Amino acid sequence: MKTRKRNFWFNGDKVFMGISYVALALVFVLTLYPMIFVLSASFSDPGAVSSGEMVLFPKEFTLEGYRYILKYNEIWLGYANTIFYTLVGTFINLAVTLPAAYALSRKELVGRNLILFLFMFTMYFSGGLIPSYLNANSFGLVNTRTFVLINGAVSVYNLIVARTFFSSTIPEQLHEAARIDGADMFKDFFKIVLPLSKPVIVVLALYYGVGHWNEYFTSMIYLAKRREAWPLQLFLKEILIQGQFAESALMAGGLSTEEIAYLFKQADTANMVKYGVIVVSVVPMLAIYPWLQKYFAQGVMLGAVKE
Amino acid sequence: MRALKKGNAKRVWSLLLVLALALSLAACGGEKTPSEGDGNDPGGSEGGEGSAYYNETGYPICDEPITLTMMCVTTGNPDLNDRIMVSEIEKRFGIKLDITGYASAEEFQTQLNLAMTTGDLPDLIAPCNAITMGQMREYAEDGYALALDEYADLMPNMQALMEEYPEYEKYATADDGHIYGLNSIEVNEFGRVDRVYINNQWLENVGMEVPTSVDELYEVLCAFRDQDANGNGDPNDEIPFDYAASNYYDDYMLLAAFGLNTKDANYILTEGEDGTVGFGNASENYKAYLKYMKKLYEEGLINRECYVTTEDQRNENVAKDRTGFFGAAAPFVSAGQDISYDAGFSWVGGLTSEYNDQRTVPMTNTLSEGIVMFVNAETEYPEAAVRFLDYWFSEEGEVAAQRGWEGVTMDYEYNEILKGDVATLYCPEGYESSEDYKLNKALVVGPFSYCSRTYGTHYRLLSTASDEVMQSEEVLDAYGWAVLVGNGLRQDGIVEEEVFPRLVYTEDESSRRVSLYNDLTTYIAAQRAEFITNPDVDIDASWDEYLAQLDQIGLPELLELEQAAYDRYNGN
Repeated sequence: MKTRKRNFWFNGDKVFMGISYVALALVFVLTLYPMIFVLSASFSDPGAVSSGEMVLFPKEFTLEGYRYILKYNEIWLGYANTIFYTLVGTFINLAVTLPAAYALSRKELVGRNLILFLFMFTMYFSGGLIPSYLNANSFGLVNTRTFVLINGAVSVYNLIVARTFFSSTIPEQLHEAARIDGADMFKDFFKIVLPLSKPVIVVLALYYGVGHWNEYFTSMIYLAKRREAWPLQLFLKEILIQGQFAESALMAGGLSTEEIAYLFKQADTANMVKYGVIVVSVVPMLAIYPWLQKYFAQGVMLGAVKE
Repeated sequence: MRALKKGNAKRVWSLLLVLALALSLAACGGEKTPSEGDGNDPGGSEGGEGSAYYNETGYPICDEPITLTMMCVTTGNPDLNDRIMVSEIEKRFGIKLDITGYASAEEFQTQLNLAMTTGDLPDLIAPCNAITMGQMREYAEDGYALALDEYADLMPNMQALMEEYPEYEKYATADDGHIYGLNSIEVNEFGRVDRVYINNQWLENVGMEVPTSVDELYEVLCAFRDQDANGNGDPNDEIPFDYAASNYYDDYMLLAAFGLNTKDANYILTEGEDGTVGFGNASENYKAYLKYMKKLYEEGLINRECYVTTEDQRNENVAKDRTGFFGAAAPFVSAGQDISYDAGFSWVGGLTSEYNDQRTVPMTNTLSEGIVMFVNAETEYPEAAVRFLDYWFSEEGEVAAQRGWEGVTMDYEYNEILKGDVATLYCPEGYESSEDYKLNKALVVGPFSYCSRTYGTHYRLLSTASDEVMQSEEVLDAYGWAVLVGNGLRQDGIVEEEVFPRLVYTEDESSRRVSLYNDLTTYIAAQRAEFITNPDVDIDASWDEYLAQLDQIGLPELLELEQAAYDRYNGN
């Protein structure tokens, strides 16, 4: 009895599994809690949230926040812009990253190590904000949607992921066979490589897409004068700032009491709206993830069963 | 089947690629137009440069409308070009404003730096206090700012203001003798007094009066703690003193009670009899203040979490009647109530202590520390720009900056209680209040309101109203906190005292001062919290160590620098 029990408990696999489950459960709670908090807060009275009375589930249930969001036109304008940037931007990303990765994965490309080195150099060193801005300005790209779309079109990290995928999962023989059957490089890329690379395409699309969806700094700097082109995140940021503005304005002074009273009211609204906006802005990404999950799994499998 | 699918995929891909290229090219082409338009601007104006494009006196400033670009920090919606004020300015002055607003000071600062490096600096730059005098000095040195004093002839209203308030000229003039940026000036006493309130109902419930000394305050707070001051049946849910712990009204009021008049609790400069500059945070008075605060904290009279609470939580405490004594803009603001809510409170100030037997109320500097507005040195229209800025120094301009123009966004309404005219903003349908209308439709708030001399406001009437009117219930219900403050200041024996003046530093001094000041105030703030909240720290025992640390951070150098600036200030 005793030995059986010991075996049961000290079985290596079981210990490993046990620790894994505990660790995963912890991570699960850590990631889930903020989401539930935001969701609950979006349905709660802002006073209850800011005073810390709302811990997990909605307190003083209200739909005021969402009602306000529905009426707040700029949120929907931002939404439309973000969807535009995400779809078109991701498409541009893929359209430049995949061919580049393919070219860099081919041994026939002369000087590919040098090119890759130049790419990687930019991962570690960049000109910084002001030179980049001057550059964009001299191309006439400041305050244009184009800049937001093409800025950072190639992420070197993603480029390397794709290159590694191409060179490790697609056997050389396949390219050779295609060549012998008369395919040129383009045909090889479009007919052989791309159809075999769905998993990596999906993964890259997701990386890029989420990047576009969450992006705000570039737009903040480069779209300062084009409010109608702002993505959702900038409007969200504005709402969050409004929530804090009354406080900082109060401390800085210089405002009349009537203005302060109004700003506090505005802050109340902002506090009410902000969690709702976060929910609204996150839902599309959450909705897409499960659909793409199978490709993630497939990607892992593809790597494993190869050879 | 499968092959067909692959073929489709390929076709789709190549199609999309082509589309992407076409799209990005089209986008490039399409978006270039506005920048080309910008390019035309200077060309168009060159023609006007030779002849006088502006009138030296009277309005409009320009018969042929010109465009001035402007960047500013703003409250509310930063989309400013459709404000009534902008079209009114075009009508009145022949100046079409093209404004880019930024919702935060940080964003403004980033864009200002970018604008300077790209050479796209607009004609008017309105940081609305987001940049300091030191930065202004640097920008001037780099040639970005127009010297306004060279156009003094075109600025009669500014000159009149400087004659009336010489401190304005003293502070605004840089050490090279030029005025580059405009500061704001506020001479409204209601806005310059620390606002600390005590709940009348709580006082009544414990049977006490509004305190006039630190000892009385201590007793009142003890009574708040021990009794059921808010009358809800629970004697233990009261926070006697909801301390903001953030360099705020309540600190200034208490520091003044110990003889330290300041509006910066972490950097208190004092003026000795012989014109020497002293440092309040190293004085015996400050030590006594710390001991007093420590006593309040240890006896549970101060909110335990004071160093981590937010303004929202403090407001919530007022709204839920959990606190009886606090600093705030006004009780009604904190509670989110109507202004008549203020009637249930009294103003507290001018406390005495063994260090100070005179009931003193420190008055905030009339001048803002930061810059509200400056003009691009490279502007095409310097004369029109300075004439435009000068307008807001006038009486009409001051009212316009805050309420707009009569018959456009406001009307002068006769106030029965105060027997005078008050400029009253409209509140058209669709706006929840006149403030909403003002901030989101009527005005561009911030850039032009550099003068606050109470023209057209009820403050002007309140400060001259008779005691009888001030004591009446209707005026209290209508004007709330301002009446509390006004009546507080009218008590016998209250003396208003100016705090240490703002000084002008040279460029070297200013850059050295910034880093020393930051190090020193950071240490002092942290040490203040430590002294007050840490029961293991004995203030007397650690005092010498504290003073030594101040010296080590560079207090002597800093004071030397302040002394030099102060001597210059007095010498002028």
